[in-house]
Amino acid sequence: MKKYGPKGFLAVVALMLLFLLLIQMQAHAQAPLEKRLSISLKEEPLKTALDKISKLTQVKFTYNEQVANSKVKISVEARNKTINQVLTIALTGQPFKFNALDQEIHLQYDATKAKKPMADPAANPAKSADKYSLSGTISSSKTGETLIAATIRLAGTKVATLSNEYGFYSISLPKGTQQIEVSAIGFRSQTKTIELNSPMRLNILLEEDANELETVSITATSARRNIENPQMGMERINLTETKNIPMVLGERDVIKTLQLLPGVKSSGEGSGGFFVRGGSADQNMILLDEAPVYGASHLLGFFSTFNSDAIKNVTLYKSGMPAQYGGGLSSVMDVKMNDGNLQKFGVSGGVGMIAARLNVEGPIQKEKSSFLVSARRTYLDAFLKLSNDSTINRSSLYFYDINAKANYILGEKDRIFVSGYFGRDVLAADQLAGINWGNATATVRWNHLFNSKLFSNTSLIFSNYNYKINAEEDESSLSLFSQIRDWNFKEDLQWYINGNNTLSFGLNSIFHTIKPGEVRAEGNSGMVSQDLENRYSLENAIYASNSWKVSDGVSLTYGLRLSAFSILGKGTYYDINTAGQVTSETTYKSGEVVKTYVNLEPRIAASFQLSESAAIKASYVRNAQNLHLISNSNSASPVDRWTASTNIIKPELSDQVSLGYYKNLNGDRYELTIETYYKDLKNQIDYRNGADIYTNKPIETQLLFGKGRAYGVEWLLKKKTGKLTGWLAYTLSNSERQVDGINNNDWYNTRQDRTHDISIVALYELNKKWSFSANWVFATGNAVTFPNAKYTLLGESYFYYSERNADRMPAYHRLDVGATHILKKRKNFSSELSFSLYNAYGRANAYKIGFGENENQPNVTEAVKTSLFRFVPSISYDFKF
Amino acid sequence: MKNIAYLLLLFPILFGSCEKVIDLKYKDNEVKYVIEGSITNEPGSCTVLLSKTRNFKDTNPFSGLSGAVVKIENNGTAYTLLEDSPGVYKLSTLIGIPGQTYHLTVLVEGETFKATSTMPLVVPFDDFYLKAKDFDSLKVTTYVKYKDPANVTNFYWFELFHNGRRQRNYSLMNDQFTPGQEVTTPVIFENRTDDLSRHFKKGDKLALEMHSIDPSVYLYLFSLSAAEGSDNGAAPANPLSNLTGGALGFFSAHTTEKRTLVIP
Repeated sequence: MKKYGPKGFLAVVALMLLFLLLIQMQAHAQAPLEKRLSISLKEEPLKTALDKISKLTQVKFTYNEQVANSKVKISVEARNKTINQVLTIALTGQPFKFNALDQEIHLQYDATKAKKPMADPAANPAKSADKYSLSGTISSSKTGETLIAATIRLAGTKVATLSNEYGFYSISLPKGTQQIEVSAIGFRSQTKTIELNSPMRLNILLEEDANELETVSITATSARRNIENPQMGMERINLTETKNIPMVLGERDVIKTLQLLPGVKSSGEGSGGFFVRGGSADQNMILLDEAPVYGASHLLGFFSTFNSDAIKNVTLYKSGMPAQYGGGLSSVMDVKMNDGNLQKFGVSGGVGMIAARLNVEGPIQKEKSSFLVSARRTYLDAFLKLSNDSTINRSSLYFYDINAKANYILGEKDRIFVSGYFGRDVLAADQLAGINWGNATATVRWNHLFNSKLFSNTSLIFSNYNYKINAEEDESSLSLFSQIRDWNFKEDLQWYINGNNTLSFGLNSIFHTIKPGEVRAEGNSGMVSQDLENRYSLENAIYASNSWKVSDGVSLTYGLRLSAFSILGKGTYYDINTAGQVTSETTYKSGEVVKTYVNLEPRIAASFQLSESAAIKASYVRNAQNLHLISNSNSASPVDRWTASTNIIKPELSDQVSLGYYKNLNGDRYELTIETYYKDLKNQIDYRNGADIYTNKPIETQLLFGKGRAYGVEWLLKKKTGKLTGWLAYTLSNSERQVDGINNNDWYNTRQDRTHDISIVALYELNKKWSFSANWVFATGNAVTFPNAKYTLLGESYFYYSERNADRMPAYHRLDVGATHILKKRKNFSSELSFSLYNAYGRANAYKIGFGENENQPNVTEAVKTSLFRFVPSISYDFKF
Repeated sequence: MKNIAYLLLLFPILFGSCEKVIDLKYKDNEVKYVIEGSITNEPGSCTVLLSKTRNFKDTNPFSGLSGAVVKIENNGTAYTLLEDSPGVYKLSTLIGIPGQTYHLTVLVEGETFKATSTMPLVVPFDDFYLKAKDFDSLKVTTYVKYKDPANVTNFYWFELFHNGRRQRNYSLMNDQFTPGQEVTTPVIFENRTDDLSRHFKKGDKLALEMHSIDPSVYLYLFSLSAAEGSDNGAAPANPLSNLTGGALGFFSAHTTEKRTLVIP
């Protein structure tokens, strides 16, 4: 057994620090409200009254326009009273509430105190049965982009709903005059009064919150985190919110932003690969506008395939995946592209250290249809040409990608989206050997509203990933081509049954074709052109899930996904003994079913609200995965081999339970999340020792199967408003595997195991021109295998290894800093310069530790550490008009 | 494929990687026996080397283990090898015959280790040549030519020599992609050290020994070449030996044919 002593100790320390921080925050918060003053006000307009109090006490107030323009008049007489007392008296019976915010006081509209235009429905049960649905789309007033996960709330109540991925919402409200509040992150909240006497359609436009209110400093308009929702283990990233986080070479990257969240770990220095809760990189199901993306990185993993300019929203599910998602054991990363500006034509772009970007979008028909094209290309290869070294100047090294999308609003009930992605990496040396790889996806989606309560989305998706390796010799040439291609049909329906139940149900059918390898040889090498057999499979799933509001404080989501994976002919399938030798084979005809794996995947989540601002949630989720990336490397390699389940490779399964505590602190300005999880993994795949990756034998002969387990605790404290925003994340976790035939059949640490993982992200807006950012990360070194001894063989020294992954690389830590300077900000044109310094204190983190003989003393063995990326400065320029 | 690996290295280099010798704490050494046994179809080649693993910080070169009983058995006849120098056991009169199976037994310090290897039939080494443009002081690409026999599975091991000095890297071939074909394949001589004396110059002698090996030896040498893992994180693992009893190393009965060229 391992010692958990130090871990436990550190956990305690971390917890203590966290609580100290909380106490500190609370203590701090009391200060402004405790200031004393004497004042006499008579029928003063609210704003004037606040200004007077402010003048007397030097305490600033923060409020939005709604408060500033309020017609409410207040009166108060106070002698040496605290601000708290003064405000309490003055605001009695008025629809406002207040709380302390750092050194300021935050005053906001409070609908619960507003005079109810109607009699309380609870007091009149006969009437409360009369409910009508209010539905529509929520979008940005500036661009017309639909808003995902905006909240619509019946003012002052817990009756609320969220807009879906297409900005659509539907909520059942009592008949009559109602006040609703609409809010979304990065947008100004709105309160609307509606007259609801029949089902009603209401499209809502929200204004961007540009932090430019005429009132004192800034307003806390951000949507309050919805803690009533049973969804847990989810992170939603708003691209504008995180755009100033410094990145290596200044290239904004959504996956690298995700890596700064608890439970999400980078697969290596500067890498765009990520591990979620101890799972491997291929266990993340990555979707771009619903299309699976199989090779999610450029340039050997240094950059993700997602061009931030084209992305609207990213949602990562670490646990409690909704039943509509399947196929990924560890996580679902759902990336939604922007739809294109419906209001006006715009061009934006930028030039960074390695790539240039251009984004063009605009209406085709104003407010009816729009398009977006976003492209990116690296220009590093231009510099290679300047080199004197012929091996370098004749090399190619670049990638490009293009996102394109168009959408049409076909009336009130229908909307069509067509979107596509195409990206390619090219790497070639000396025009002789090269590799190129890339993804292409295309999605056609149709949103249809059957009625105000039933929303449907139908998708037809194409997804393709391939790579080609070329090697040219004088008298021969060789190429290897491999591909994975999907045709995918999806139907998702959301039925807003009543105020307490929302049912999601649908089906999904994917036809996979995997071409493991096509070898083409010419010339005198003796290589024979050959094709490894194509693999065909059909993946079907149906699901249903209901979100049920059991009572005021209890919500439950329960669902079931039934997946059936059928392996289809034509093809030859094998039986293999434990030594990895083929014992028999069976050939199937085209369309013949080789085997079908049926898996029931329950998804259950519950939330219990402890108070207005605190909740506990629990969930259980089972996931099955039928496409496996056979990889033995840390970083994503373009030649990693995708394979579908076969008669021998069984679907990978995971069962995850998690429990979490959620608290909104200090007037919703801080969010605290603590989640724990335990994951049990079955049918995990690893290469046999001595496996040959380039073989034409059945891949199963090179593999071993085992089980895994992963568990951990994640702390996240976020500050979402104010001049200083950011978060503090800490993860304590463990991830292990046991495979017969590896490590003497004992459990061993997986390479994604990292005991401690800390990230601190801070974004500070100094003024309208300058904003600064910094992030610091710390992680336990990767689990690696170091030699225990050496021996001489064939006249050379070789190493002996005992336990797999029992050693650790040195701890990893790094500070990145960044600054953004807005050069121009006018209505028609804006531009900014961003500076960043990656690894600001130049920590030589170990990328690799190799062992070898000393150059001068051949019998002395030494360990050599290689580090990358110390002090990487970058500058980039972005514009928009 | 090797070219590709080379190419993949390019990227980190562009961004200025740095290397540093570091001190690590090593765990206690578990002592293992190491056997390197071979018998070929050439006279005087039958040799078994016996040693133990050493501490990581040890600076001694090969330290042979004396006093072992080393036997090779073929067709019911057992031959005992004689200790030539500490840890080196030889029997010059024993010459291997292609197609024959040989059983090795090593008795040392109360332990018994065994292995079996079958010498494949001879595959002629047809040509070994170098084109002038493929010569560079750090890297020389030579070509070998042989005809793979049809209808049998073959495995080949090429040992590289530069001015008589055996190189650390070796080349392995199988006939998965070249069954029954006339094969011309590159074998690359490379100096990856900073030692200038090991650079390639005109007039240097390059030699290749071509061996036909059995599948168990191929698997051993293949896994030995991958034993240290890879830069991108493949876990290191011990090679898969054909020896039983827990010893490291291998025993191979193989054919051998040597060809030499002089860099023009």
